[in-house]
Amino acid sequence: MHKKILVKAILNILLLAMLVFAGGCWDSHELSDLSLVTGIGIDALPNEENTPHNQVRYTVQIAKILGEKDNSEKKSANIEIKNSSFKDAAYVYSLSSSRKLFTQHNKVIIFGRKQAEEGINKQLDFFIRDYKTRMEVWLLVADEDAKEILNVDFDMEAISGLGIAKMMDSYTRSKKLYGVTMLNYAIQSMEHATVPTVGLINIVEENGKKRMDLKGLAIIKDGKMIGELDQTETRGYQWMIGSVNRGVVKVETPDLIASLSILKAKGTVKPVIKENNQIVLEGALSIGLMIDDIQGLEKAALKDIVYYLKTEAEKTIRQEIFLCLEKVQKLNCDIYGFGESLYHRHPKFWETIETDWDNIYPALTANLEIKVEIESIGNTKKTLPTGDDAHESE
Amino acid sequence: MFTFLRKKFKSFLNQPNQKGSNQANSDQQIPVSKNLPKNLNLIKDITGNSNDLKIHEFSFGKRDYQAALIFIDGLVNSETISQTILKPILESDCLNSDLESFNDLNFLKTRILRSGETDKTADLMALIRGIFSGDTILICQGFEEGLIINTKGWEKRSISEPQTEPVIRGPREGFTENFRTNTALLRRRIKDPSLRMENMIIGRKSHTDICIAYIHDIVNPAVLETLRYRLANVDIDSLLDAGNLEQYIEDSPLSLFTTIGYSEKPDVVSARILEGRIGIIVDGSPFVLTVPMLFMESFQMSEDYYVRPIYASITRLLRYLAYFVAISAPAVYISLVTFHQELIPTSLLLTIANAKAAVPFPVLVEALIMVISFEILREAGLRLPRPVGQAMSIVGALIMGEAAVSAGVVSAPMVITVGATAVASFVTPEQNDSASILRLFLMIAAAIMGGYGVAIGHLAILIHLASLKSFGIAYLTPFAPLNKHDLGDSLIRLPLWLMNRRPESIAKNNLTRRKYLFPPPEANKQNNEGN
Repeated sequence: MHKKILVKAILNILLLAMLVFAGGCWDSHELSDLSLVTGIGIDALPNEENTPHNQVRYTVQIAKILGEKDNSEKKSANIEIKNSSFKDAAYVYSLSSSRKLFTQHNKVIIFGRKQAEEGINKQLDFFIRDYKTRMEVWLLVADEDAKEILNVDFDMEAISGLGIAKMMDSYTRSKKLYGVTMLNYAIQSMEHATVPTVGLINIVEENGKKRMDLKGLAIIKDGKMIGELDQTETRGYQWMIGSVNRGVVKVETPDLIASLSILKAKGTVKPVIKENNQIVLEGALSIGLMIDDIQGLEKAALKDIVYYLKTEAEKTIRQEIFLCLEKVQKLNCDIYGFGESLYHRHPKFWETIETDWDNIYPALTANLEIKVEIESIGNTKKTLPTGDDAHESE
Repeated sequence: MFTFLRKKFKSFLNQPNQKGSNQANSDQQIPVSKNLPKNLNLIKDITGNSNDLKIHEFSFGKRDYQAALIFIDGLVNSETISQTILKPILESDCLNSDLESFNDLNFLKTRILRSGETDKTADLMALIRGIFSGDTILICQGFEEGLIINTKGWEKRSISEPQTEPVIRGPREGFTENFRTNTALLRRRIKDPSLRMENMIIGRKSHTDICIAYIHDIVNPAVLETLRYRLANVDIDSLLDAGNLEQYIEDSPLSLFTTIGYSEKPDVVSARILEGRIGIIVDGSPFVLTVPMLFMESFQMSEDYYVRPIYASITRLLRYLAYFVAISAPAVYISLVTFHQELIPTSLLLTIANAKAAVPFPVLVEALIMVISFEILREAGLRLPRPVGQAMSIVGALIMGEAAVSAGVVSAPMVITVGATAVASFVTPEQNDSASILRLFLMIAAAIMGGYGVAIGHLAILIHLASLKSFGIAYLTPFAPLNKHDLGDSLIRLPLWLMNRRPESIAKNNLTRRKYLFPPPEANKQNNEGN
């Protein structure tokens, strides 16, 4: 009896010990042993005097942790390491420094333009594989060197990496431009024929003060940047994939200038198979606008102005859409994911044309139906008189 | 492991009492002798002639019967003695007349004495016990018996508001140290013949009166039997407070959790008795024990039933949250900061990192410093008189909080965590002692294994809680075993009119509180007509 109890007790203790020792989670580290990485820039090195194969320059932005009494202006430091693999670079850094690089809170990975043109996938492989880096990290291409971007400070943010993340957040939420996370990029890269895009960031200099802004999208085909879309083209892209929900349509004609905010935008464009296996892009977009301001045509009747603005807005939107479409067709980049869309709906058919897609895509024609409604005219029916109108009508 | 210990304890509880129970011990009988001086000498001998023992010898009646009154000075009311004993005896017409029939003490007891509580016994030890309970004994020459007359009247604290369970709404009376007052306070709330009070005496030296109070048609007989059995087997020489008794009759004496409830408020104890629990009143203690106790009782306050149900439910949920915070906030903080930095929002992490930059200790040491110094502060604050207490709180708040942070001994987020923990732990005073130990246990688990450790720690606590029993009732009732009906008064409190049945896990026989969920139609009609 006693023996039995003893055996049972020992077994219980062993089981409890297993719970403790068989589990994971042994990676305890005190905060004071960590360097919090808030941004990583990756630049190609200039091809001088036999630099070893594939070496790049990592610019790692780390938050300075000097205690609460620290009054220094810069709350972050950028360190530069030349290496061919980020893991090795981090290891080498941790040897010389008192702290380990902690990438779980990294917000952005920025590729310099030169590196982007040479290819980003080799470098990105580590970050996608690494379980410490989050898939939600923003992926960006800098218009020039990534290092320069990380050196620019925000007015309202102590650490620029966090500032960029917030900027991307607000851009993406407002859908004006399109932020791309590493997850989006990875998914798009693995789709059939889709060419992923990545945010393109640049430095704007105003009154001698540098700040950064999102310029548009970089088109990354097979890991290499082969072109870019500016803000107008980006919106053309977004109209097609139905991701516009806010923003302003600006109508500029010789007669008037008007801004119309977007209240709603519905509908997407999809490839449709017609007879003879002809593929045509078809879609109906319905867009609701609100008049923000009208400069000009103050004498005209409201009805006429609304009609006029409707047609002009439609024209503008159509122009934006085709500007983008023509550009990417010329580059032969299926950024919309039309190939993927065909594969989803007609997988058998897709198999027959997959190899030929590179020839089919640039020749696709679009048949769009754009319906614009002016849903609100604001607080006033009349435009304030300026005298210009009378002068023009003479 | 716990099962093993529990078995040991159970066998200890069930051991037949070798030494014989305390009653047997004090029951050695000494017969009362016919000779009065011999009796008096014997009493003086047994009591060692203590100077508070007063012996008043007198003679009465036409035939000069010799008698003596014996009592303890300070325990009796001398006014009562003269009014109910001396005056009637000395002024009695019957005794002063030439009466031959005075050959039975019953005559005195029934015809002469003006006391409502008089006992006759032939045992000298019983008489002596009576003396020490504040009774007066009367022995007469020529009788082999003596009378015990109730003349209790000693200095006692009046009923006042209890300091441990203050309420905003609800009765403010509290139990006192006086046994009778306490039983009376219960009687005043439950004026029903089914409220039974059973007296017992425990303590070979202290002879403490205890009383178990229950409503006999509601109480669970099995629980009552268990309690009687355990009380009968308590063999101690003194019982100074209810807390003493608690430790001899509880189910799991090694557990951190108490399985016996207590309260200082008659309304709380009455409510529990009305649910089918048993109250144990111990003479000399203002705390009345109640059994069986469930874990969720620590989260039920009397006020829950006096305020409206929605507010009561929300505050009760808040109490569970506060208990969770009280035991696991420092542990969660440690695991987040040492293992799961990725779970902290970036800007908060930067703040914490900056605050910690100047602190030379690992987080666990920092947390231990704070938690232990908080316990010291609390312990010190408890014992201090109020004016000094204020100075203490200033020292505590300023030195522990401000100075320790600015000197870089602990970081500000840690002060916040421990502060929140401290405040939260006062929400459930009954579980305060368990919380302060569990907190340390979880902190160490968190420091070794991070979030995994916190989870394992909580599981261990849960398993232990589920294994506990209080007088045969599972401690985690009604959560485990699940009792849907009783859940109505657990995490939340349903409106009183919905709780028309007593808790099934506690009460056994008479489960119906009210017959109808809603007033029956006839009653409605009558009301309308009346209006």
